[in-house]
Amino acid sequence: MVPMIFATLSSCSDYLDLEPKDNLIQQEFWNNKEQVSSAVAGCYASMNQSGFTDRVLKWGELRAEMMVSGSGGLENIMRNYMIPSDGLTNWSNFYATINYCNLVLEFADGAQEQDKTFSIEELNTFKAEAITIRSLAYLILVKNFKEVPLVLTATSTNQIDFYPAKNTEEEILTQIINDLTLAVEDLNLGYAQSAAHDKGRITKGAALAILADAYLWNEQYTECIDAAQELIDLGRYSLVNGEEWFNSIFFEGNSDEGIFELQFSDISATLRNSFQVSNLNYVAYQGINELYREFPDDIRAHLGTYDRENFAVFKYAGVDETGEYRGSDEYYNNFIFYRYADVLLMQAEAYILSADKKNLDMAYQLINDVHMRAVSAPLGVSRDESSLLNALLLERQKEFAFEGKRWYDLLRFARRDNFANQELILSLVDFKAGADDYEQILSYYSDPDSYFLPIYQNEINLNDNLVQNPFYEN
Amino acid sequence: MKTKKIINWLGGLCMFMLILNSCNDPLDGTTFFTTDGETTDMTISEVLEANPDKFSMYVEILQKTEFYTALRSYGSYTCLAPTNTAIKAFLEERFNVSTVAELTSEEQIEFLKILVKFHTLPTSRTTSSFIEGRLADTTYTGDYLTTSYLLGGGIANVQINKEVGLDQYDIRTNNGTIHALTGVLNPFIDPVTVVMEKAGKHTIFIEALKQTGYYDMFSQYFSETGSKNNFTILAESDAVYAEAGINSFQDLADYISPGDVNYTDELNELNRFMAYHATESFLYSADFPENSFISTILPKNAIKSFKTDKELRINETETGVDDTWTSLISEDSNFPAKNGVYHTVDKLLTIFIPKAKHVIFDFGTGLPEVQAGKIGFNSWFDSTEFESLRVFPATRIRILRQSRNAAYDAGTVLNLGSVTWIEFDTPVLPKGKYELRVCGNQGNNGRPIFQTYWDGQPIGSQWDMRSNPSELGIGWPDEDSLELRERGYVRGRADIFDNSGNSAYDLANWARFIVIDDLLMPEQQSHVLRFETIRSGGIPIDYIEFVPVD
Repeated sequence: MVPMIFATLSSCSDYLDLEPKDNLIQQEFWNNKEQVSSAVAGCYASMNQSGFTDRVLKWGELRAEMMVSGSGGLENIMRNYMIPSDGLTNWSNFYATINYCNLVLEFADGAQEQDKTFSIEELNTFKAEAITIRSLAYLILVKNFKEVPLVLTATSTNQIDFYPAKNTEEEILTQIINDLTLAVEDLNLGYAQSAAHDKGRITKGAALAILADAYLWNEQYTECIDAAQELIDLGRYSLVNGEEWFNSIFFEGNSDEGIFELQFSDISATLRNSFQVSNLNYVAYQGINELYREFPDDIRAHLGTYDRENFAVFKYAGVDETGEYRGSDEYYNNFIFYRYADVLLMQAEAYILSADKKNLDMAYQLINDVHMRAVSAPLGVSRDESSLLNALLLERQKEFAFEGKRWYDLLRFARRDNFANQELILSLVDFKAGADDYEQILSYYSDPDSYFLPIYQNEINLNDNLVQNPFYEN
Repeated sequence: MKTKKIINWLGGLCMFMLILNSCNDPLDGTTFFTTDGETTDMTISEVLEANPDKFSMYVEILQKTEFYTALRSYGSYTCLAPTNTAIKAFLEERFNVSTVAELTSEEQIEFLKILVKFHTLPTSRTTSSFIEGRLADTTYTGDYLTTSYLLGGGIANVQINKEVGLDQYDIRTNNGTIHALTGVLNPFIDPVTVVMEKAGKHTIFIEALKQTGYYDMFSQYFSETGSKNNFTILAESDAVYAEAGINSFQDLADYISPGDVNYTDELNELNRFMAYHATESFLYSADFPENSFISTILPKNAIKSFKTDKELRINETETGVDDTWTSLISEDSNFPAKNGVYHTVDKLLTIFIPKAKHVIFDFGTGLPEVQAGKIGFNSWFDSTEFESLRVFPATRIRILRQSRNAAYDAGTVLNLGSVTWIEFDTPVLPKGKYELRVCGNQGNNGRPIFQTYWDGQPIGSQWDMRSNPSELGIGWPDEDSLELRERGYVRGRADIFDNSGNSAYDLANWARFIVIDDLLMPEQQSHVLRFETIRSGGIPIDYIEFVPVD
């Protein structure tokens, strides 16, 4: 049986290289509930790799200002100078995950027919998990590449198109939204086992959080409000107390606030390799003291988010307020994709921008909930649209520092109304330029097309139907 | 530390997947140019030839000038290849012909040879090395090319020499990199004066150069000794003068040297003013030092260059309040010529008298040879490899870098065996009175005793490197307490640590020896500092410090 599993699941990290599989073997594998369960577990395991989580972190932070790397090879992305041969643009880990999900979706039905103990409800839950993971992968891809091929069938036979072209951003987001809307119906609220299961596996809450995010990215604000509200109404999540912010969310993990946190059976290699204090690959930018200065008692500041002595990212590397750090074998962190504060602030953003459900008071309340929790003082901002948007962006920057969100926040704000707020991104250059390279870095950031990554050159070489993203045609 | 259990429902499967999910693609990192093949199998010449739609005319030029074979040879070149469209336009404008074949005269062929040399670099440079400024290497004509991002839009809109754009870039071949150009670069022929004059934005400045006689000096390609001249000119544009109310040469002359029309006299204020606007070195803005002085043509005067995280400040007053400084106007700066480069300053660049300044000269990254990458750390080099310092007799020298040393600048010291003397040129120092301190690894019987010479004159106390102030025991008084000073020392720098975490401040062998505490420098200039050996021994010198005294 073991060789059989090898044969059926063996796959190159590059989905385009997948060897055609024979249907017969697939069907011999997919014949009971346990095998489907293992395959779904494989979907999670495929995310549980540094090729995946490294990119989630780097793509989400390095083009923005807050996370700075001293190690070689990352100067380019930190200046928004990306070239198609840069391996950092290789999306194969994401398509590998997508393919595992597609395999489940394609073969689970057959397994259910053969296994009398496998109920249709259980089948639908497994499939909804796979659909939601696939949606998350596509949402990450669409935020970074804007247009990618939408592959919805498994590369398990030689009957399918190995040379897919790109789909539009609209097509991809529509698919994500439709998929998630259906998946929410079939997903469990939790798994009645442990917090690690409820946070580490896809639940109804996780799907709703991803859905709200997709709506927000697609500027469907009313729908975003509703999705976030549905999640809030589940009553399963709450903000942890201010004094528990660091310990509960980041040190212990699986807090009341966690919605979807990737769990690691071993240490979290991405976080250890990035933030380990004895070998700092990334530090906070110099401006971070300024960022938290307005409220010196902000629980997210010194020895919460970062360490003002050495600029280490304390959020991941720290142990407690004494300033103790994790040892290199102690990085049992989760990798947090969504937490409750994020959903509240997503809903706040939508309340500010929605045409038919605009509610600035609600938005203020939501931002204030997150703000109050951290600084124990109410948010002092007037309740007009632009003041609230500024306050929201700032609160997100402080709350989700180094959680792989900052670049998307800036990009989402900047690109509204045809890049009316491009200045938000151009002003990053002030943090990045030295005396001699201001013009150079400004130039790298000047074209909005460059805010999306190039498709990895190898993919272009192998697939004639794949067209390089516009900024990178050469 | 809390541990997390293996998520049991994962089973063993994820282990398999981890193993199975790691195929490597042998084609990673390669780029393609033609649709039929991989360019890294081909040489520059072959790639050009394989794309006649774009490069047939440049190939023809290469063949005609006999450089075709050179670009097929083993090596690592950068080939800047103008496209057919670019060459066609160039030929029509310059020679009024439409094909390369029509160029047959010896002069024309000679010109094409210069053209190809000007479009070729001896090192492969991809666009990732393009900065706002000059490329690191010179072309085969010996000129620096500039790259500029002022148009915005990233690499695709980069301009070479601020005149020609990229049609396609980073085409890799097995002997270098090709960039396709949308135009033909004009080889530098004119001196910097003529280039400025043709650009037409500095008419008052040019007139002043002519009236003072510097125009001719800055138009020379070669010095009297036959070496290539390089001038960097910092000029006010007419617009900058206008802001200061100067609208003609006469306005400028009246402002700078009222009543004295003898402009060619070196003591004339306008003459001095103009001489202060140029240096005898090739400095793009990126080459300006981080925090140091640049000697000008005006003897004993220098421009102070200081780079903050954000900007270049020239001649910052450092008064503490309302500091003023001059900077460069980006779009009017970094224009190269055959014998130099010119920049435009954003306000009047008047002769600057800096305050005495604390200067540390470190024998590590402070040496130009180390900065240029010519001298690496920890290897022995022949002393003749160093231009910035001289020893007698010739011996070998290394820049020793050891983390166990609490030495300035990443643990670097200048290390050599015993010599009769060692001397070097100090950085340009503002005039004033200084205390001269030296630091090296002291307190070892194998070390020498030095007498210091300043511009040929013996000065100060003898530096006996065999001893150090350890006799005072632990618990030295303050950094420069009288007690310690009477012994001839101040404590080491508190910001330097060895790899055990000990600060040089607390280490006797890294204390600073005071050579002299009232060294007077009446002029701003560079000096020659020599250590003559009285008793020989192995030399580890860390840094030399000039501390202003009131």
